[in-house]
Amino acid sequence: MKYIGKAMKRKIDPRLIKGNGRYIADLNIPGTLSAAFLRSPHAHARIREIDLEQARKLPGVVAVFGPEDGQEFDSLPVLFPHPKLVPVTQKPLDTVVHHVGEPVAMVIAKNRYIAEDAIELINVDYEPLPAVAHLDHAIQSDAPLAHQHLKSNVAAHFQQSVGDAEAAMKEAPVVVHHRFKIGRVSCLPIETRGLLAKWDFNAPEPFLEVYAATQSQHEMRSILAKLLKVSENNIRVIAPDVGGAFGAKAIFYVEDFLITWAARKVKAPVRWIEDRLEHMMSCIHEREQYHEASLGVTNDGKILAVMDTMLANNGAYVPWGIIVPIMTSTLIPGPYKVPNYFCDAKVIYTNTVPMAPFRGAGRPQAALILNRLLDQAAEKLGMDPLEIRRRNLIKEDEFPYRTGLLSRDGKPQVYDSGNYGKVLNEAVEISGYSEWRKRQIEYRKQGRYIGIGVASAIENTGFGSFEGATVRVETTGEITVLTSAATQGQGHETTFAQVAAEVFDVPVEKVTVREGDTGLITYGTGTFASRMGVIVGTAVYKASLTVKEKALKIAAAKLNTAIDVLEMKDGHVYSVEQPSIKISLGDLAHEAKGLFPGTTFPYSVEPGLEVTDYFAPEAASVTGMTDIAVVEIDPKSCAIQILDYTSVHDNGKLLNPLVVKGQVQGGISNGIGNALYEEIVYDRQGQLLTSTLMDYLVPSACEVPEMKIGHVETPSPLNPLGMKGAGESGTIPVPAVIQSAVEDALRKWNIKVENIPVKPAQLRDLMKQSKEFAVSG
Amino acid sequence: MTQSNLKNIALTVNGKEYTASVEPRMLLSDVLRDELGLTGTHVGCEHGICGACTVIMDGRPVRSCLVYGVQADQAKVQTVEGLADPDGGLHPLQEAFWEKHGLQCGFCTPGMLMSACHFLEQNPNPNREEIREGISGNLCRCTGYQNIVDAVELAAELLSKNKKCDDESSDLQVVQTGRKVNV
Repeated sequence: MKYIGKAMKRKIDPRLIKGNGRYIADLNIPGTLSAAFLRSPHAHARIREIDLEQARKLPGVVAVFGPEDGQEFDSLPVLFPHPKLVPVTQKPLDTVVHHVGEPVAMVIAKNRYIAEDAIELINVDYEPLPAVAHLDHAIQSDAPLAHQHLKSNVAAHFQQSVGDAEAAMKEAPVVVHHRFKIGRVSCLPIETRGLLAKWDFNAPEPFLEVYAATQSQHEMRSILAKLLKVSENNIRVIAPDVGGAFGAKAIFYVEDFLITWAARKVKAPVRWIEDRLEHMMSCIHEREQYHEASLGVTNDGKILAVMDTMLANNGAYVPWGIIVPIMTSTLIPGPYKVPNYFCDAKVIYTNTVPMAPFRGAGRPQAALILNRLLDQAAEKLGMDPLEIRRRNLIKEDEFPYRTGLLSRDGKPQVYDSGNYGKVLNEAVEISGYSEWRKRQIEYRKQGRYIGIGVASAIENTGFGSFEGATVRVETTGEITVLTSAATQGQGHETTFAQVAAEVFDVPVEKVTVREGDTGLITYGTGTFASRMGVIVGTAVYKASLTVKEKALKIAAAKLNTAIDVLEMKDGHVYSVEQPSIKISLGDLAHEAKGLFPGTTFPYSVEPGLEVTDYFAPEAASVTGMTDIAVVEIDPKSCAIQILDYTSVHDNGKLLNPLVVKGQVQGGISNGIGNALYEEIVYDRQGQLLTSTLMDYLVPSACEVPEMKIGHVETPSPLNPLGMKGAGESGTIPVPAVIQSAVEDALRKWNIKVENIPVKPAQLRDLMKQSKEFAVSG
Repeated sequence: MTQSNLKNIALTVNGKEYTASVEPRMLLSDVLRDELGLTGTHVGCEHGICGACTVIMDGRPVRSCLVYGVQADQAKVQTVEGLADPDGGLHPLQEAFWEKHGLQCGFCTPGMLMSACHFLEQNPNPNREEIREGISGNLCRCTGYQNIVDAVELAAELLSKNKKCDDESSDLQVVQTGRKVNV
């Protein structure tokens, strides 16, 4: 292949590195007003009275809206319904607030400074209601209810099962247990949320144009149409440059509705840019789960049964249903053969920010569980942690592999392809695992405590339902690709150009990719679930092939040759037999437009050298990865330092290795934050204790280690190019590998590390409790 | 505070003189973006942690979200818009970020470039650990920093062969590195 698979520099970069990006806050639309929100300081409260008059009187304020206006609003639609779910979605400007940070009133003013001044002039009389924030509290029978109209805090209770895990566990000669307490994190893109809404009342019908920092412009359009009660035909959503997202911008939020509604009301463009405080207290969180898990193995380390009890916090609402705990419960077996499996999952409402997928989406939790159980079993059997993994990984010749579970779409879960053993072996090789094991013994003699962790995991990527692409040859001979994707830094403008360039055999520079705009293509889903490369990439490929076929048909007629002697190369269609007989792509595009009005279209193809095609994959393509980490722990301060980090991924056929490696590295750094530093903390009453980046620790260049990245390519049979997703897999094994390495380093103290993030203070407490610590002083 | 007195300020940004009438409470980041139309400087946290809004003020990197516009009166400010030459020729740091895939979403990049620019001026021949420390005041959520470190390393090499990154200069010249790539 000439372009696909090449590490090409990104086409978008020159614009961004010169400061010429166009993010929402940069748009300069005359007359744009600014919005600001008054947010609830209470985790659960009823608004008795609210006085907006002082705020309305402030010069520069255009309008102030509150709960009275909210009476006419619908609750946000239930996305991802589930038979076991009692769904509660957020109602904009409701009279009862269910978490700290929920919008209570909205000010529209000349600028943000004035809008915030006005916010301070709003007086609210709250009746505080009992609130619940912590999982262990929320499940108690006398716990306050997160929603007063519900009978309990349980949003959903469901099971997953294969075989008879209970019976197999009883028979297992070796059984180990582990508990997990996984903390909550924020997606935290460096650009916060934001949108700008502008209505054109002079259009045939009022027309709404929305510029939004969104991962999913088509979904946003469809929800806005429903809530604003206008046709989708009268809404255009544009995602210009978006400064990172990681899940935060896949969700539809009440603010998205309120800004568009307010712009209609005040008849002027309105923009809202979330500030960081708002981001911490209102933009989705993820990860928080507690697990109690058991593993039964044979005496030679073969898995007999895995059992898990999960409690998942879902915050106050279910903006994306219960996707995250479902994902966790279906992926605990991961790359390992688990003949008997049972998971009991309870999803809990609390008066905290809602949970929805953050990069990894329930899978880092899943990867943690069985990998750490295998560590315990290996320890008990006196086996190397690598060996127990090798004995249980699904083998290369066992694909397609049926796990016996149902996938999130209700169909049997099938892993399409993979070579987990090879991925593991590559990681062992690259990391210098054996050397590190030797060094570990030597270091221990010197009083240095290093630990080595290993974790293998999978990601089901490229979920449906579909995406689309329009591919067009311009009369200049250039290729235009319009897709239903949105980009937040993934380099689509380059990778999708590579796909089209490959088909047409034109330089990548000749291909222009446009996306993030509902005006470009009718239907689309969105950039999440590591699905763009696979699904949009395939749509671009298919559409390009059809356009090429059409071009060849026109060329055959025009050149008066048989189609099978024609070849497309370097921007022309040639006769292989007689290369002087040729026509350029630009001329063919011209031909495809017909002659002039009144003439009969001369070709037996549809006019226009353009095709729109959609791709709906039959199932997810499954990636595999193994990470190996070496950490050193100072036994006095318990500071944890990563000495070596290796990550090997099988992302199928890579479109652009430079871009994929960047995705993996970025994912790992999110994982490192997750594993060691980041945690959103609420007190028992639902007060947010980590509302700034002083309290919520995002890793800097000093905390993220140098990473050694390897790739194994097992093509997926589910799409013609053999692609698999790559956006999230970096994050997935990291908490497991770090927790594993830390426990290994502190083996002398015989402690069990159960928390994520792993923090020095916890380790110190655990070591203090350990007998060994007392002996060693 | 509801109504404030406007203050007249004059500042030099990327070699060009500007005047503006601003409220004393207006942040330098907002002055640059909203009053002067220089939106290359991004705002990520507004409390001085993320570093996205970093600009060079009188030779030193500052968080423009922690500086009031009135404090920049009579100051020389350099922003990302001043790095490339007016004809579009990239600064070696910009070239290196492109070459090494040192950015993804690009939102932290302007601040990262400005910090790195000042850092290389202080330490033209850094090792990787020093680079990591040098950019540790700028958060990036996309890249995992490794490619940024690679890029700063490459920029140091490019700069040592050619021209200094001079943040006092009001008119940054195009740097001929011999590694230029078509935009």
